[in-house]
Amino acid sequence: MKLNQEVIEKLAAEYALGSLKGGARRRFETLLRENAQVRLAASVWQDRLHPMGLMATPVEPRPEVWKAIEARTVGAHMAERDRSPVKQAQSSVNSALRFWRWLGLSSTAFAAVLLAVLLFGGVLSQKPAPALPAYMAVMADDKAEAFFVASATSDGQLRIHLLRQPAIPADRSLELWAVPPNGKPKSLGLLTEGRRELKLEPGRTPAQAPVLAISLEPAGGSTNPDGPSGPVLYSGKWLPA
Amino acid sequence: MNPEDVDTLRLLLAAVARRDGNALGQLYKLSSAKLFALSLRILGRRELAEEALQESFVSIWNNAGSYNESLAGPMTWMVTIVRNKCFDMLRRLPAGHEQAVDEFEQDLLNTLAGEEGADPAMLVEGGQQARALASCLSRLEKRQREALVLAWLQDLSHTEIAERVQAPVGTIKTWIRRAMEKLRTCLAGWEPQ
Repeated sequence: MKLNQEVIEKLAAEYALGSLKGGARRRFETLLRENAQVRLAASVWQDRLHPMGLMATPVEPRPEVWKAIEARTVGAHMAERDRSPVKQAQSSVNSALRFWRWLGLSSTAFAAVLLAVLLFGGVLSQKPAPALPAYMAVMADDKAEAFFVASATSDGQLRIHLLRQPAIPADRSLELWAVPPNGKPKSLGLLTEGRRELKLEPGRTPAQAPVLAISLEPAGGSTNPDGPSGPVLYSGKWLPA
Repeated sequence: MNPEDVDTLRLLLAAVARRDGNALGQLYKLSSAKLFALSLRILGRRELAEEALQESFVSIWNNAGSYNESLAGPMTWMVTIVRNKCFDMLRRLPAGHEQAVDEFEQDLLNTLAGEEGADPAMLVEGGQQARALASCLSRLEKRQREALVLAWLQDLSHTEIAERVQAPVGTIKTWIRRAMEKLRTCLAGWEPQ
């Protein structure tokens, strides 16, 4: 169809503004779907006008708004995943934790997220939304295979999630360590099947001990009072979430 | 416009399309205060504006895959979604937001004075563009500008604008046509040659 450029321009302007109504609007929307020239004209006008929506001084919505959005988007998506026959973990984990697990399901997705955190973490770290952890750490082995993800809230609540099952002899234990920049590693206790949450004591927070490590120990934990007695199998740095 | 911010938003939208919940969180952190301010301008009431913002981000999550970056900037796309969700709610209200025009006039003055944008993360894509548009809008006759604001921010038709400002419909159509032509010419002067 041959269209008059002047008419297109006028209709596109009124469409973007919103004053094109009723039958005229529906006819224009049909043209939009069919004609690339019309789409371009409309989008040029939308780009011209949209800053009208950005002139008001920013206002922070209440934290409840994000929680509701998260439940209806990421949370709903997790629930759908959980119904699939993918390996089930404990059912009582909260949505943030399930989120991390979901991230771990594929190493590609995992790498993409890690990249996103590295790229945007610095820009976006100013005010973490309350429902999200303040820090996350990916703990990987010496071949950069990720085995655990830890998240910590700003009030020091640490959660650990298993991404894949490490092969550990039955008579050995895994011990978690907070590693400060100077000084000795501080034990955060043993990683046992049921233990997924712990409170970070002062001196062991992500800000004070920026590295997390997991060592292989005799059953019951390290025999060395000053740090791991066995090899460190997994480690990772805390990053702002 | 800060190209880095636009690229960040594009990357985040692409990640949201792949069902990356973290990216949705980041997108929300970057844009929600701006978009919430827009919802407030359209709806005037906080609880309604929050509901509209919630619906908008659910829609962004569900439709990020259809975002076409060659057609619209990421912020333009999100502003369009927020406007549509707000307009859905506006139609259910007995009366629109009566103070919208007055509030917008104040926003315009603030934008011209460069008050907004103190926080660079909040500038997102719109800083320079907002100032350019504010400058061009401020050169319009006040009544022409008011007609534009009622259409863009309150979803009013020519007839409804005519009732609101008590002028003939034909006059409103002429005002809007002239105002849009002036805007186009004025903004072209801002665009890089």
